[in-house]
Amino acid sequence: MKKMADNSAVEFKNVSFTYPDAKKSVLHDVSFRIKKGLWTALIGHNGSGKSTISKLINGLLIPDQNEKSEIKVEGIKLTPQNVWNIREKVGIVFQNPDNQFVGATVGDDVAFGLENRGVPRDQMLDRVQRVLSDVGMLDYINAEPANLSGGQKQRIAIAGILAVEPDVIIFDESTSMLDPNGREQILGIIKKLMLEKKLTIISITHDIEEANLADEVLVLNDGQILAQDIPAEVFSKTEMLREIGLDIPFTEKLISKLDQIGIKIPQNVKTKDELKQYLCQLNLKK
Amino acid sequence: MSKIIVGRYIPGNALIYKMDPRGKLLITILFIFTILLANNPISYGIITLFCFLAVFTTKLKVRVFWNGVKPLIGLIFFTALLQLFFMTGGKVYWQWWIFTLSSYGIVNAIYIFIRFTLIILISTVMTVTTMPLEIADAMEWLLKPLKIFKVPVDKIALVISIALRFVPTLFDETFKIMNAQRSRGADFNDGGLIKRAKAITPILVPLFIHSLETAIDLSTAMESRGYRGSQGRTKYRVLRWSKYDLLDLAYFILLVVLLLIFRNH
Repeated sequence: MKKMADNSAVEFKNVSFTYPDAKKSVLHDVSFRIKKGLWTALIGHNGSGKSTISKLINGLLIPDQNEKSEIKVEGIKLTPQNVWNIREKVGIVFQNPDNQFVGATVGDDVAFGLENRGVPRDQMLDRVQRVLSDVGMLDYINAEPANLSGGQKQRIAIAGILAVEPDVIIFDESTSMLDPNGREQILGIIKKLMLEKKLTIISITHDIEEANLADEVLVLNDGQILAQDIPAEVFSKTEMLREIGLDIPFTEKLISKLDQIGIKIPQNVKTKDELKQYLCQLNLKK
Repeated sequence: MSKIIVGRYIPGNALIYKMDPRGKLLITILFIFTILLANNPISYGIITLFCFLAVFTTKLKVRVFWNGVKPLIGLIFFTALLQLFFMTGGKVYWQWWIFTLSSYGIVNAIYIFIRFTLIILISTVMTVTTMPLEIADAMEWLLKPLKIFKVPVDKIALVISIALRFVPTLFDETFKIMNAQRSRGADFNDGGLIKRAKAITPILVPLFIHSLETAIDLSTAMESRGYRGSQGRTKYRVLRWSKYDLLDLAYFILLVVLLLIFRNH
């Protein structure tokens, strides 16, 4: 049991949360574990409590008082005293690229987290350059936010988080306000980061295709965990997803359409590649 | 997108652009006081010459400076005319009711005219060649002595830099809201004073709410990035004095010395 606890980046035990002045709680008695070094996607319809989870993880919100309730990040229990230590380990990229840009130029913004941690200036210059080249924005170091696109601003936000070297990065609907191009770039960067820097990625999203890229999917409905599994397993439960008002991935849609015109796809074909292979073989048989 | 140049800064690569904003801001302020040292034609001549020297070093078009003077031209002429007709003394050329045209009046009107123009020109040189952000940094430096009186200079500096960063964003937002309201039939350019004032409401209310929401989002983002007050923070942006700053210092000292020599005592 102890070994299992070691490989979880974030652990929630019996966590409930109620916003002040709200009658109903947003999360009721939620328990789950997010594995270290993996990309976990958190999906659910509007108001299902996804963003609340991200804010609970780094102590921006405090869960309801309850003896059993516990939040652990990288093995450390979150308490009001060590909130700042937890925030060192967790970085969040928020939804609106405009509202999280603190600095007057790109360089200033990336350096903001470093300034807060009292990093000496010469180290800061090095690190700002390095993380900006990681996200491919080094040419824009002196640019002002008004002259950048949304996707570029989100890349700067990622750079700002990378600069302080966290263990966990949360993307709180970070691609929802971007155009398809910007979204593609951000997703590419997420994938690259996870592999290169061995980071734990938690992405909160409405976009099913984005969730499909993750290693694990956590489905949230009305403040409760409905499922936690690999994407192929979760998305094959099309009935369940429809019931809670979520879309299904393109592959699943295609399978059901093929079913309608009389082409039966076996149960074990789930991912895009498997389907591609199966359809090619089908072609050969004819 | 936005065609607004932040402040009135015009990018360029003349020597004056490389100078430290602290030096420029300080000398601009002192220059305005130095004008009061001039009190005869020669000293006015010297200070005008020095001012044009500063204008010349920006290598910008005359038009830029004309645009700086234009909005204040009414005020300049009004003040000069007051001097012209109400100043008494010296030789009187013409008199009617309370108006007098005297030699003192004429000379003083010319002096006032020069003073005003020089003040506007030198401050235009400053704002046109320095980025608003640099001006903010220079202001922070000038405010630093106030720390003795427990003035939170670091926080004021952060407030200024965030305010400057959001000026273009809020401008964009304002235009977006205006266009959205226009597309629903709002009319911002017609009608009397009261009607126009009323037309502003559908812009102002959403803009206000938007600013508050932005502030909440921004503060959440700042907090999650480890901001907990100005204590123990290091600075990414620093200003450095360079050899070019000796030039503007020399320029200013020379000006003061010349004025002290040539003014009437």
